[in-house]
Amino acid sequence: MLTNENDMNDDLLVSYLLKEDSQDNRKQVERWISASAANQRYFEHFRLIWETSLHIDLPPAINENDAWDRFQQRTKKAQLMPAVVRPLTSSLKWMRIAAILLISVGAAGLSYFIFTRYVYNEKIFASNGIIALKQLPDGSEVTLNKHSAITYNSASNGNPRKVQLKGEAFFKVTPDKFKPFTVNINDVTITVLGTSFNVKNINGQTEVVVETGIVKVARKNDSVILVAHEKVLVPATDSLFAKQENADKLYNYYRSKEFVCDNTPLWKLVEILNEAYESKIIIAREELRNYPITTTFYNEPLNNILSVIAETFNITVERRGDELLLK
Amino acid sequence: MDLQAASIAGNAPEAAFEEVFKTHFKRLYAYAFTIVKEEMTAEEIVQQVFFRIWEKKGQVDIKSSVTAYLYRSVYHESLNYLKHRKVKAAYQSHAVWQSKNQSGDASSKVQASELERKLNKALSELPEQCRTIFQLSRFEELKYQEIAAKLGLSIKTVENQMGKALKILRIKLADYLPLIIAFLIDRKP
Repeated sequence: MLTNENDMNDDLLVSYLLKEDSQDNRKQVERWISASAANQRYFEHFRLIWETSLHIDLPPAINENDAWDRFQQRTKKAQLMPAVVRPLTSSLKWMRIAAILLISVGAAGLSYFIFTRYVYNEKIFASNGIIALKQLPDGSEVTLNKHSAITYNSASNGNPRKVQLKGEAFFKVTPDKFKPFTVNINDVTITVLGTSFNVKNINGQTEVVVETGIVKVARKNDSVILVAHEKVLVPATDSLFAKQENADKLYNYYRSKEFVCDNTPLWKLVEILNEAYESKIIIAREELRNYPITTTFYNEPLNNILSVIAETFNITVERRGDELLLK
Repeated sequence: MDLQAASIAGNAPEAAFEEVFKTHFKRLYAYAFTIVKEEMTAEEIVQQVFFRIWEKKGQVDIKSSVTAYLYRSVYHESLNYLKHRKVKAAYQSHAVWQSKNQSGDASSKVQASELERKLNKALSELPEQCRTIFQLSRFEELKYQEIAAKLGLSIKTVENQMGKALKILRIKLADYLPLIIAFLIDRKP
């Protein structure tokens, strides 16, 4: 009964293609297909579309347990701050500013309005000798370690969300999936939609540690995707890089005001102490370098910390000029 | 699956919610990715869909099946994202980022043919139910019967929707399909 093109039903053809139909149907469809060149072409188009669709990119595999962890971070955060009303208030604030400008400054104010609204306004914020907190126009918070600086867009809507970093900073980015937030440091670009992470320049190398959410770190054609408790160290030279687990929380010291050591090798703690206190502690005995230490030091004088270390490992601290030798 | 419909919609115990999340996450993520083409955004979209269900607790009205509800939400959220991205000023910087991102692995991938590109676009323009059923059949390789069970539909509806999907795609791709099918000759027994 299916003898010409008009009689053929697309549903049956597709069922045939997908081998979902009965033996009887198959024979009918085959008869229809071989009835004319036009029928053959019609069917082959279906087949071509079906086969081509298989080549469509699928994403790299993702782990559902990790995704669940990220989901829980999100729900926890939501429980802490139940109502986020920022978009509304910031636009209201903007309108208020615009209104004041229009009334009091008139035409000059209007041109200023247009200027700040649409022009990318570069500003620099530097921390110099102190640890400093800076809020960006989009609500994101940046904690700058000592001797660090950011260049950011001060346009009132903070768009595009782009930051240039020198030194070290911790970013807590306001989520906005429509406006990616990027940080440039050395020749590395870090892209996020809304997460928190630490970025540090170590002699031209770039270290990124993720606290919450997902972060993409890219240089030229190379990139990695990091999630919470992962880090990457992008070497200064143009070579490959890979993500690693991040076990310790030491990176966070300048923000949390505490040094959390969890099986941390002594050399690593010393490195961070030297940075934080601008001191010159030197491990004078090679074998001490990898001694593991597990404790938390709060914001206390360096001498206290050193005496705890000395007592723990039964070693002495010797002062020589401005150097402190552990032996 | 439909047992879970009750628990996810009602005052779901955390464990049931977690199970639904973990059962569907990978596939929903792949689905969002085929539409938005960005790993991070795809994850964000799926997270957002689950987050909204979590936020509303008892007030989500899931009439048919959880699977159908989730796919539908991911579909709409993805399209919404694409629509916004076009409008927003951020589009430009994003597109630059994306093209950089894509050129990165171009060497490892065969350049997509014109037909593939058009098909990609045509797929994202399919109506929601068509698109979801196509996804389940093509990328999750489910049989009509399994799709029907998952989405709480009849097999007949699944068959209709698949027919409709291919028909729409064929019309949209008309200009890119070959007029003469050369390889047909040696296929016949």
